[in-house]
Amino acid sequence: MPSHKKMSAEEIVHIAGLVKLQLTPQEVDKFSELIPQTLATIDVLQELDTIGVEPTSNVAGLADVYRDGTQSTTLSQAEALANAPDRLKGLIATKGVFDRS
Amino acid sequence: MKLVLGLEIHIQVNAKHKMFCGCLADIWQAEPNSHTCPTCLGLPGALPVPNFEAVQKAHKLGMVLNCVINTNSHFDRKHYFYPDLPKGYQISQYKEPLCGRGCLELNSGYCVDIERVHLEEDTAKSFHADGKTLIDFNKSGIALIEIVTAPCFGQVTDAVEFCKKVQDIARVCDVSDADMEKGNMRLEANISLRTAEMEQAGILPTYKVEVKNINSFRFMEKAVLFELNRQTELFDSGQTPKQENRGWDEKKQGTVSQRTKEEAHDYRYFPDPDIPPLHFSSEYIAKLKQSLPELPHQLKTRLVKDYGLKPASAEFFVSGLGIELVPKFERVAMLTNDPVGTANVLINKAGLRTSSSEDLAKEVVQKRSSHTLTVSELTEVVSKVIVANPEVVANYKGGKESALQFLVGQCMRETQGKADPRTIIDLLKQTV
Amino acid sequence: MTKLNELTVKESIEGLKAQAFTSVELVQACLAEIARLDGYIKAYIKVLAEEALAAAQAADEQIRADPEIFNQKPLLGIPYACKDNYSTKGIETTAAANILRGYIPPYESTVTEKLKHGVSTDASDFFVTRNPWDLSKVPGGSSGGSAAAVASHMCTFAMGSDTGGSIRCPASWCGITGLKPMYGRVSRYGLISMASSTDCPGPLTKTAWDAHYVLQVIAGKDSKDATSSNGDVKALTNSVAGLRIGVPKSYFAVDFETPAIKQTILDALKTFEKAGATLVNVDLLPPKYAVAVYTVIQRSEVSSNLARFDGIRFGQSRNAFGYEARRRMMLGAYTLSAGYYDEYYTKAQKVRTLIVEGFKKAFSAADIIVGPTMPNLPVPIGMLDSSPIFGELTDMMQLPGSMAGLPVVSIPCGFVSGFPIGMQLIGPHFGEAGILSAAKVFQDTTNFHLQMPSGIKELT
Repeated sequence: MPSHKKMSAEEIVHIAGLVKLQLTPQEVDKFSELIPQTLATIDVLQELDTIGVEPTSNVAGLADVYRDGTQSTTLSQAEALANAPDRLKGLIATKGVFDRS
Repeated sequence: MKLVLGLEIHIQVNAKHKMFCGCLADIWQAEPNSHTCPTCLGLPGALPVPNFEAVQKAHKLGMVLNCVINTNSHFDRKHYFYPDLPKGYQISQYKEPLCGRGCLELNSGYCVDIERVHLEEDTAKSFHADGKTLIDFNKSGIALIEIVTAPCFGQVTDAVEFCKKVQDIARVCDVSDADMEKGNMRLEANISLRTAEMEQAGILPTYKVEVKNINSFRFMEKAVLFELNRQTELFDSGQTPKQENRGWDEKKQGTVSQRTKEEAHDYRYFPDPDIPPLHFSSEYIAKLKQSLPELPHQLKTRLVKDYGLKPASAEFFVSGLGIELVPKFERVAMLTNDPVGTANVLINKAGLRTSSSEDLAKEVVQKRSSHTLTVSELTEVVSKVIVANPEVVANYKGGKESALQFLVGQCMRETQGKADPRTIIDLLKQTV
Repeated sequence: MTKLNELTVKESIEGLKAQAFTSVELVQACLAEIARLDGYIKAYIKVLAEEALAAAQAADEQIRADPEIFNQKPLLGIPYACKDNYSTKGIETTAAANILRGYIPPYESTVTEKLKHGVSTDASDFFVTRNPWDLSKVPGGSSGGSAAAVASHMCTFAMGSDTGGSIRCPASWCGITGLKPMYGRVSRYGLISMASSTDCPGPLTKTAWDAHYVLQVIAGKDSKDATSSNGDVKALTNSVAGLRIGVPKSYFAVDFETPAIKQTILDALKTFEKAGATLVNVDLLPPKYAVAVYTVIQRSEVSSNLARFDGIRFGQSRNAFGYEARRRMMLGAYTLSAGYYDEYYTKAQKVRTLIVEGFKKAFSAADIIVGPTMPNLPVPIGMLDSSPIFGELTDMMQLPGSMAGLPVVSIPCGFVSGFPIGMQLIGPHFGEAGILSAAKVFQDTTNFHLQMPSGIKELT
């Protein structure tokens, strides 16, 4: 059974980066305990033998569902832009992604 | 040090609709953000539904690349953050791509090792200006085929040839316009170096430099050669190149590091719960295979064998713009009974390619008469052909009429079409 | 005399058809009740009074012109409340989260489109919603606003959504009927995704008959949701004679914080027996495994589904995420990350298969399965979570049904310490009519569902 020691601040910051979250130092501290605690509750799954069991990711039992070519819900440019906080000449704007340092 | 080169080729599918929504995929010169919907804009609650036309087209390409067509396939979510990726994940394929391993033979006979062909959605288009990123989501969600090769290229020329062949195939199979200038075919090169010993032992380098978004074959050649030099210099000074993404900068005539603020990649793939899995029957696969058009290498063989074209001339008709001229070539060749002459006119006189078949036929005939070889010159050619093809001659003597046709073809080829086929027939009959 | 807002969907339609009252009067009664009570209960994030009255007026005209119009527009003129996680065109939709403040969707969800003949007011649990049975207690989540609105008769019915019990838990704690349809039965298009593989839109109603009626309107294959299913919603039956009711021992063996709940459910089972049903033992995996599976899968899918909230095309920047969302995304990012994926995500998906297969086997011996909805009574507002999976532990009985995508209805079946107790009826795939028929028979012979919270009667 895997052990769940307190995680390092570095690990927590790395995970937060994966989901693009900036955490406060307090949150880093909190999550470094909370995540291992949660993982410990999941360990119960190891009690079950799943050798040869296929994973289920779809419970509706469906397969081969394709779009029927006729449906379209295309928005106007104004509708597409309406909720964007920043926009310029028909484009949606955001702060630059390139690191200039 | 030896070059190790692998390719990722992205090809936008020319399906009518986008990959997972009902938006029209033809966005060429459209107003920005005029071809979006809740799904391709990644609005909360909007869902993807896959496009069967795109699936079929990806399958066609995979079939021509001799890939295994997987009977079970599904879409995965690939997570990373970038402003041009509206959902924070790209719907792509990871564990069960539409097509698995394949191979494509180059002119040299070398077989390119293809790892997979899968389907995904394109990202939006972003521009960078004044410290801002500006985004047009029209491109977001267009069906995109990704072809991944093994790191199997030791020469950049092979890589270029492969890319050109893929481009031709995509066009012939009506999968994509594969127009690099329009960005509907894009190349990525994974470039690293290894020692001759590593090569012999089949050991791959521990790093790779990914040069992204190369939009011409020439740039690819330049980028790879630039990296070859840059990485060699690093090794010479005792360093190992960093694993990183770089981009080709035409102004600087070099690759530049594309360091972004984004985090290190851990794509956290998992099967997209919004899309049920896909199954493909052997009947479906067989039927699709039957629908494939004549492929460039098949066409080339036919042009050489049936029309007596030289391989170099045939190559013209199976690549690039030449492919579109094939129907015209076949019509004019029939009208003039002179395939070699027809090919010469189409290859050498670009201005005449748009002329009607009838006008072209006139041109071919005229060209032949103006260049017609003297009878003594022709006699020389005929003798040469007879000596070179004793078996065919024997067949003809044995009464096989078609053998004569072959010999005529050979003579026309030798004379590059500068002869009247009827004179040749007469001469052949006399000589034999 | 019963006030108009206290009527069920069935009674309201009968009254409208007979022109005993108008849709405007129905809406006015609800609006008056909202004005009287919602300051205390805080079920609504936004009350679309003008829109509702205008829609009611239009409905009345149509009913006057053609009383049979309900054949085409089954919910015409019926006031309903809608959880604020359905995309509603032109109406701010926030899912009660700061990250979506100001977001006005340019499109309509399939469910609200189908309900458009009804009269919508917008419910949410943006604030701390209170339980109508005891204002110091929570109504249960996350469709708590919808449940509280129905229980306090501030609407005729409500729409919620259930990811891991979020319809059934508040239905149980608020003493109403809450239906989580089979996964895929009702289109998710336009429902803001939580865990895509378990999210189910569903109604919260005053009776099982109403739940069935609303389900008929909202169910069906949607070309915009690849996971939606076709298949008729069968008609209700009026008898449970011969019905085999599966009783999973493992669901009664859990640690009940309030042991009287267990007894209440056992008594309810006797009611079924008296009505002619047979009880059979079925073996199901103990709910604790579904809790673990759900924790992994819900966190993973949430971390993925919330990735689109980047403040570029809509909404606020990712700094606006509250603690709960951050907590879920952090774990989800971890369980999906390189090196841990197989240990957590794949393992959870495999155990999910065992849960699905366990149910399949159980449904060969039983027609429906019955168990408690919640193991405890509503908790006090502001009570701190005692465990990182506190929500999952209280919802544990509901998680197996969610993981297997089965239809489940929770109905009130008794009272403990003045609080309503919920019993859940689980059916096989496409088995909504079966569980709702049993629920209707139970409601025909008992009056638990007719009880009204007395504490709010005198409020002004």
